Amino acid sequence: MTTIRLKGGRVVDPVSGATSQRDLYLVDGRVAAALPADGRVDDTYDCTGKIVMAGAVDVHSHIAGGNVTMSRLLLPELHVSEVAGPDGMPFSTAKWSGWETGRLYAEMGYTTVIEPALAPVHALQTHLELADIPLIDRGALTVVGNDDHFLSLLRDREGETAIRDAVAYQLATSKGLGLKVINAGGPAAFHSGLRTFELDDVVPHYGVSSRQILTTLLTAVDQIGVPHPLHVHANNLGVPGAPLTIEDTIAAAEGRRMHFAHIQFYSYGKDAEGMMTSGAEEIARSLEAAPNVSCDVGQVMFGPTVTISLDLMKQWQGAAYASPKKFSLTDGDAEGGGVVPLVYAKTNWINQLQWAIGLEIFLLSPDPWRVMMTTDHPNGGSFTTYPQIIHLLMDSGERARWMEAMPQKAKERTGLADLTREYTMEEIAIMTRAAPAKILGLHDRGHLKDGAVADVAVYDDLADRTAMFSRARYVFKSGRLTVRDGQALGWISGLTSILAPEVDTQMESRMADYITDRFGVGPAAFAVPERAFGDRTIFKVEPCQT
Amino acid sequence: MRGEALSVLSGHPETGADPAIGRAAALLGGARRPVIAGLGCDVDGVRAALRLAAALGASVDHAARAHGRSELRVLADSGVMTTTVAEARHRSDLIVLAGPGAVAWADHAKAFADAGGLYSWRGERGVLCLATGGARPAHVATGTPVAALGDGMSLHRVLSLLRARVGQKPVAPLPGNGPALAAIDAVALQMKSAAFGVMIVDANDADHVTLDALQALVKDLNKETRFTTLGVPAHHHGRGAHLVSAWTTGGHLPVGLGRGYPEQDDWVHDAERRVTAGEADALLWIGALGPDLPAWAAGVPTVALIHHGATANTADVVIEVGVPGVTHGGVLMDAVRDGFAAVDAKAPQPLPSVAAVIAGIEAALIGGNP
Repeated sequence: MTTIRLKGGRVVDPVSGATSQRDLYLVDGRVAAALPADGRVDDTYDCTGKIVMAGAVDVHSHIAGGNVTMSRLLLPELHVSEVAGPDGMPFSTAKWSGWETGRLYAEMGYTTVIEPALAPVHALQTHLELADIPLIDRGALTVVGNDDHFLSLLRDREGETAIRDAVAYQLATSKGLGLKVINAGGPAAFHSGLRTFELDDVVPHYGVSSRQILTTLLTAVDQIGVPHPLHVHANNLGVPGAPLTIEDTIAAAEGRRMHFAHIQFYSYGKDAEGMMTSGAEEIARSLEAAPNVSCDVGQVMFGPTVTISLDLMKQWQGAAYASPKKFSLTDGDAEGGGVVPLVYAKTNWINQLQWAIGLEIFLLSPDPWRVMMTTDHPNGGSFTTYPQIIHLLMDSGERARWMEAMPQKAKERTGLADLTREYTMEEIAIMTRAAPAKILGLHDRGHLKDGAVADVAVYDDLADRTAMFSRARYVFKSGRLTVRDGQALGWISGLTSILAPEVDTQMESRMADYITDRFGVGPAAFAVPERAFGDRTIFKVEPCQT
Repeated sequence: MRGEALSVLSGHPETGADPAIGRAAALLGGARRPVIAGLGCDVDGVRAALRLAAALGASVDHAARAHGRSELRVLADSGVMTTTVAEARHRSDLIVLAGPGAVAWADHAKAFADAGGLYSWRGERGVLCLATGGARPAHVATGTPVAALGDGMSLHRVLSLLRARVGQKPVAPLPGNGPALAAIDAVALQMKSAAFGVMIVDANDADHVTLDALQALVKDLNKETRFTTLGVPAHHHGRGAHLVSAWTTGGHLPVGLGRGYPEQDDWVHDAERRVTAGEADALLWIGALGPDLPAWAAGVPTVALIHHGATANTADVVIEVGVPGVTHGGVLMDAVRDGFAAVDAKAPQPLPSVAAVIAGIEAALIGGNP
């Protein structure tokens, strides 16, 4: 038995109780509220004056898969490596590599990250890439709703059971942790030449509306018992007036649980001239009225970045604004993907407004359990800006300083300057730990209750929250010290959490026929078997709801 | 694994791989500027090669040069629009074979040997050959006669003419043996009239300027309809190797790891150039899936990992390795279904994988028993 004592830290964990100064024990990779009976302590870390939190959990960050790797190939100039890493940690400073991703997340105190776009036909690549991201646990959300097989089931008015079985098949074979739909029907409509797609628009040749796809999947998620609510990338991303789309989509859910991805990108209102304004208040009201709905923000931060999305329609429109002027667009076997580089410029009033709208959503949030922190990495900005976002949320003075640079045209269109709320450390702990873990169904993390996975981040309690959250003093992954003084110490591998829903044998045989017809090869060519990872242990099966 | 492996020294068989691995480690570990090339192996082999390169400070390159130097360069220069083989087969109502390599691949892979039937609304499939030098596909199902343009012209010239006419720009009068303006316009109209056209090209037929022109034409066509492209798969698992490099190092091959971080540079880290220019003092050639050790390797101390039946006469240390998908399982990019797939051994044999041999070399480098 190995016992680690974190001595005298200020433990911020609203799940296990009020913030207090106390010792925390990590025993054989699990959190223990008290010292084990034998009284032996192997290692003690003095945490006096420091903040002790659970390891952070990211519910939506594009860190692996074909489109992420496409962005690596498209934009070499955005990630030129120029610093050597320490011995024994190859590729730790290789920019945009999986190895660097794992290191950077770990050094901020993150211990679990979810890739939100697992395309079933490319599941093996996504899992190979995830397996090469060290120091963190991973998971991925299986994307459904735009593929020909699924749309044909709807067109042919197949029953709920067949649809449930087909979706369960995709989830199980792709080894996803949840289900996601992207602009339901939009990418399929784009293949057929459409360039816009609303909730009640119909996918050509299938006679199926976006609303129908959405509600069908909401039902399937419940029937399969997926712990994470349907992860929804709604229609009309980035379109002024989209708060109405969100309101309509919430209404369509009829009280069923649903998670909106990167809701900031739907929080754009329009004034009488059709110009963009903040729609954050409308979004906040919609969220307030719908306790069944959660979201992550998708905060925009300034600088060059790249947008990676399976929303082909949006990416085709966005290609006109690409900077540098190049993009990739893949018409895939279901969605495919688009990669468009962008610069969010401090001098651009629309980008400034996007930044302000994201912060407004955080500050108007009715509930930190339902509004979670993301940048939709890298679409709104890099995950490495999280410490700055926390700083902006905890310190109204910091916000005021940033707003000094804001063009008047943007200032007039956001209520951010009037918001005085400052997040508490407890709210940060909920929004970046407890809430994402809970909503993903990862009940063994995101908190420091007795028996939790010993994923722990220890921070110096600095007034400069950016500095504080950029470099954790200590990080423990499953009880092993992985970061000291803001620097990763070496490579260890985490696990990829998956669901393993039962798959109906008849559906298995139907899918085998379909796949063989479509691709000319059978389902084995799409499988994600454990043997593909050699001797490595990769997967951890999480329970479905019963 | 190594105990039963067959190893070869300077072309002569030798039983037991361990001594060979020790010699390989000595040869590579003693080098100041080693190169790892060929790289015809599975995903685990590429991962291991990159890891070894990081330990040695080596350059890493793949034999499929056209894919890396032309196709991936165009992706980084100006972006691409692409699709999958299955989408092209089922959805496309116009297959454009650009260059003779596209015709050869379409026939060889038989990807379009049937009309594809998933999308009942699709019209009949048309086939168009651009600058194929007279080559026509024998195994592509089509509802209409195969159209062609520019059999005697370069692909770049044909693409430029089409791009001009698609954009309703004038073109200069063509020499007497060139196509008539009406013929160019007819092909431009055929492309614009497609609901989902797919242009197929083999990077070996085109330099990066030509591929760039091809992508530009496709982007233009998308202003009014849907059009995209499909690249003929790179040989010897080239696409798979480049992708593994991209998620491991951040960029495609070739890559140098001599400075402790990856440097992607098509010229500096080109394996052939490095060896022939005398900039390399050791070579690790990986040819589990082929290709054979090239003649230019004769000028440098070489360790060759080769499959059964291959020869590497100029190599100093030769180790026979298994072939993924034949003698052992592995993960390979499947060209038909356009993604990575786990493959099983068809005829298992106790030969070591590339990854296992490299792991042995790495272990020997740090002084442990290989």
